[in-house]
Amino acid sequence: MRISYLWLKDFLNFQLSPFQVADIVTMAGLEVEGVAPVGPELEGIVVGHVLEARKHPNADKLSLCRVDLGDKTLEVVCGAPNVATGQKVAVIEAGTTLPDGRLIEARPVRGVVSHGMICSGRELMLSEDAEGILVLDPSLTPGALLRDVIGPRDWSLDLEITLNRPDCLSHQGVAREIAAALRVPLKLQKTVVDESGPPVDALTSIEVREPELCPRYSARLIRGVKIGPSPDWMRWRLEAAGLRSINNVVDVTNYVLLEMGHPMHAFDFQRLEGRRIVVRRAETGEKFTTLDGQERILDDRMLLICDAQRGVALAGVMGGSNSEITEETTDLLLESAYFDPINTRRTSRLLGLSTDSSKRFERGADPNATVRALDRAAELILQLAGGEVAQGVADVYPRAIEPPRIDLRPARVQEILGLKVPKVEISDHLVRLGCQVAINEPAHSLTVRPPTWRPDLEREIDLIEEVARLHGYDHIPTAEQARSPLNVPHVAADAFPERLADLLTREGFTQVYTSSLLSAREVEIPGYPAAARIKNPASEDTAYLRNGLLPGLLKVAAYNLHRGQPDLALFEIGRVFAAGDDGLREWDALTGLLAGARNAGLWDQPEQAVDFLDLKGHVQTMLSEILLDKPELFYYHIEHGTGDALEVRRGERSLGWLEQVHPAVAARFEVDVPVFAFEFSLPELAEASPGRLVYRPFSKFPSLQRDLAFVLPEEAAVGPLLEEIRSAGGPHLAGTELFDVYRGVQAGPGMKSIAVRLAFQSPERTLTDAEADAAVEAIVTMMAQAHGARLRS
Amino acid sequence: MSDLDELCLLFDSELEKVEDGRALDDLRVRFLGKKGLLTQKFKELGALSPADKPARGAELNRVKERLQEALAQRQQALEAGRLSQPTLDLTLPGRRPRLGRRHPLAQVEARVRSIFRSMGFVVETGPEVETAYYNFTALNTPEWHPARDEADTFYLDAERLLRTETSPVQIRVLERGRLPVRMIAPGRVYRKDKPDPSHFPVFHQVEGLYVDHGVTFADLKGTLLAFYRSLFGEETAIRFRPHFFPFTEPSAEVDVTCFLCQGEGCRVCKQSGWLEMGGSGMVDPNVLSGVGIDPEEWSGYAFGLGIERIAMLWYGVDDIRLFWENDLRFLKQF
Ligand SMILES: [Zn+2]
Repeated sequence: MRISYLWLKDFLNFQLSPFQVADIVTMAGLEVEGVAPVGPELEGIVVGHVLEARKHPNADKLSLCRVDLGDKTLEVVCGAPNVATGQKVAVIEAGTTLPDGRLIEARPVRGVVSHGMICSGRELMLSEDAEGILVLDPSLTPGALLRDVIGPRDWSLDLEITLNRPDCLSHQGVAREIAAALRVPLKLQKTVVDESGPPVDALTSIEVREPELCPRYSARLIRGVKIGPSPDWMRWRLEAAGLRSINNVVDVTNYVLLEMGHPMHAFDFQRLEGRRIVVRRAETGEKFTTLDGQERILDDRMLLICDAQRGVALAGVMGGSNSEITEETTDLLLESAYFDPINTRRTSRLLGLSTDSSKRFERGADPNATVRALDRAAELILQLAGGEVAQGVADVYPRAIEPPRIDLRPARVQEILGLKVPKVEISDHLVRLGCQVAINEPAHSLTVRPPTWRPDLEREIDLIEEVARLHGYDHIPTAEQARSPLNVPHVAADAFPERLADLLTREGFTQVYTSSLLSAREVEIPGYPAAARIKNPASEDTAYLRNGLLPGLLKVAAYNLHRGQPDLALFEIGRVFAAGDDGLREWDALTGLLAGARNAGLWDQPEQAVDFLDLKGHVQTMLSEILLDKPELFYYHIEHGTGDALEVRRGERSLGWLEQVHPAVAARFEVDVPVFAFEFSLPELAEASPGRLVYRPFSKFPSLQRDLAFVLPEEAAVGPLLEEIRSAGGPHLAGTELFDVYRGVQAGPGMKSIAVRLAFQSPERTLTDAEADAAVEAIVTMMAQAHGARLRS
Repeated sequence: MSDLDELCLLFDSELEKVEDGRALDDLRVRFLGKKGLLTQKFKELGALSPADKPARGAELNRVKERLQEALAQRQQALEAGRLSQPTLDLTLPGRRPRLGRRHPLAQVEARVRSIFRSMGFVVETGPEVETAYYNFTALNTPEWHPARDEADTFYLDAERLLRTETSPVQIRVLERGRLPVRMIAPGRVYRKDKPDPSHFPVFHQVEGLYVDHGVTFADLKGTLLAFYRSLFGEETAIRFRPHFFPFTEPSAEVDVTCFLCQGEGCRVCKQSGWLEMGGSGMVDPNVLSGVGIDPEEWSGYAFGLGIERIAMLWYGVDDIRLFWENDLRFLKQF
């Protein structure tokens, strides 16, 4: 809603700048999006000093003026009676254009050449005063640009009005808020309508067949108007409020809308069949052409304003082209009605047609303002377009809409605000908003009747908000202490994901945030569940909910790879979604991705490309940090990715997987280097992770170390062998560490050599070499017998 | 060539290859150790005739001296060599292993959570796919409210939608019926906005709620003042502006003094000296009675704030999409 600063002055006596007004309405709850000057640019208009004004030798009514413009002196002929020596005036030099586009040229006036013009307020489009020249502040410097030394004609305040305040979609409503905030009276003009015509009932009739949808329909008739352009003041005010001038009659209806907030419509009375109005529902499929020339197809819940034959306006939304005001119009029927908010909203939404009128009706207009709006419009039309107003108002209002009665307990005000506001003050605040307030002494409560322009005031709490607002939120105290309930959860909802994120960060992974909305192609990842589709996506690129985090990470990988950043260790923790027959499931997932070099940043070392074992190492560290370790966990080979893939299970539960991403999948995301990824379900990990760490004692006796190297067939899997070594090593084998896998001449073709470092230790005593040697012997025997492994010398 | 000449030849060639102290020790052991090659020759002396012994013994001792001298010289040379090696250029860059980092939004959210936790708030979470009931109806949003439009909200079907704020978590927690409640709910929310420098269809909010006996607007003001002072600095002031939200009444927009210009007015705060931080208000009685709580007995406040908004202001990030691009050159800075 654009509000004209000058227009507000019709309702208020104030000495505030537009910016001060903006501050006041801001603190009243009307958000100000901007304050902008309104008016002509005043390009090339300068301040002049009238050095001398003397009579034109050949014309009594003209003056010859010598004007100082700072850097030059100009000879100008002036026709204004009020020009005088010594004045500071606004001057336009020949060769420059006026705000209305007129080019001023040097020309002879009664034999004397005028080299410019001294301007009136009217010529500069600053005021309506055309009688004399604009006389400026005598302290101004000649030659100064006029636009730098005088303010604009008006200011426009762009207000964001919240949905609950339809009353503030008008200058009167905004002025009322300012008046209430400043505690000054609101000036409401008296309208005077000269009803010189015959009684309205003799000329037309109104029939409302749907009083539910149209609780009130009021109309006035004006005959013999002359359609024409509006005067400047009207055009300028509409312009400040963001509307274009059309003609005097249409401008008046818009003007009243902007001034009082009540939408109106003017029909060409002669174009109404039967010269009467019927308010009925449209028929399903009924066609109607609105003012914008569009043919609309209606349904039987839409309200249509009709004449004796056909629809002439879509109630509360837009008029029809069949009865609109034209140059030839002489007789008007002015409609000022109150339409049901919900039905108006429905019609507007179904037809995709939102107008200044529908916006106000759907938020709630004032049913008791229809006649005042008509009177104001009739007054202005007589003034601007002439004509003869029929006597009286045709007003169909079968059931008057009364404001509710609301009980307001001052004690409740204190309970909600934490501030005691005296009864009288409460009453005073509400009265300033137009409420009627009765103080019930014995009951310690107030009975409040809000005005019908405030449909948002229905309950006690609504009134408490108004009291708080007018009292000023600034004047409500600020508590200095908090009372907190003493319920601290054993495990906070955010604790587990935070722990994992910190862990991965320590491991060198960087956290990313990726969008939850993906394309059909992106959610197609082998092993992922079906993805849920959004019914009304913004685009096909964002039509699905992510069913895992890998697609997002691959997109981030591609983005960075293509920008010369190939060494990636990334993770994300976030919500993922799966569509299923039994409804949608959602859970938090944790996904990590590795690509490029593992030793990035160690500049003097040759680059080493990451591989699957890097990935597995990070996963193992992470899992052991959340107290998940062998023997509880099992790693299974699974069909996933390239085949280099493992699933991590605990018992029957799958916790997640790790893999080299299949190059074909990676390629779909424009990733053309090897990438390794893991994904875990956070709830599964949390469930599996023990809540409590239990200390394991360690031995204080020395340990004995033995290094062994076995030669084995190439295809032997090392992981299970290490397990077997552990169990064959006896109770004192405390550590089994793989430290080399060697292939080459010394191992022989088709064979490999593995080297393990064994540590023997007892919690109770120092072991002897013989004990260690015996255990080694047992391991060597087991390896030879079970796996044909020979010891490498 | 005698056997001792051969031994000396072998020793000399091996000595050539020695480059460090360890190899030198190995060589010493190999020739002069208990089982060393020269030691063996000494042991063989016993088998010689008394006539040959002295000459052979003298020869062996000469060789031994020669080896020892050569080893000592070599040792000296090694030590000298070590010291005369070029010194390390300390101006070379250090080796810096890769450091992992938390996403800036995660860092801001963690800070917000920790401040509220210190004030006795409990962290709660809820589903991102919500029902229209939890997201709108239970929050007192009228059926006709434009926020429900398909133009603003993503729907999965007639009833299910992507939550447009974290407020539905309030309802889910209140429904448990265990009062008092003092909670925050951080999380992702979704709105059908076109991506531009200040919008992204996915973003993060933190919702706060306190319902207890006798909670007032003054408590709300005090809590948010304490929070924003902790977040932005002790000198921060806040301002409450009346506003409209369906689920709170009275409702307020919360502004904090601009920490970039200390309230003097700058480009970021549009010369106002204030930064808009989020909505707040007293829980609407309809919301409480909707979950079976008597609004005459209990009252509460609720507030919301945007993680992206705080992060953008605090770090001076001027395009929200940077958070979603995950360019390492961006992420590395936090
Ligand atoms: Zn600032």
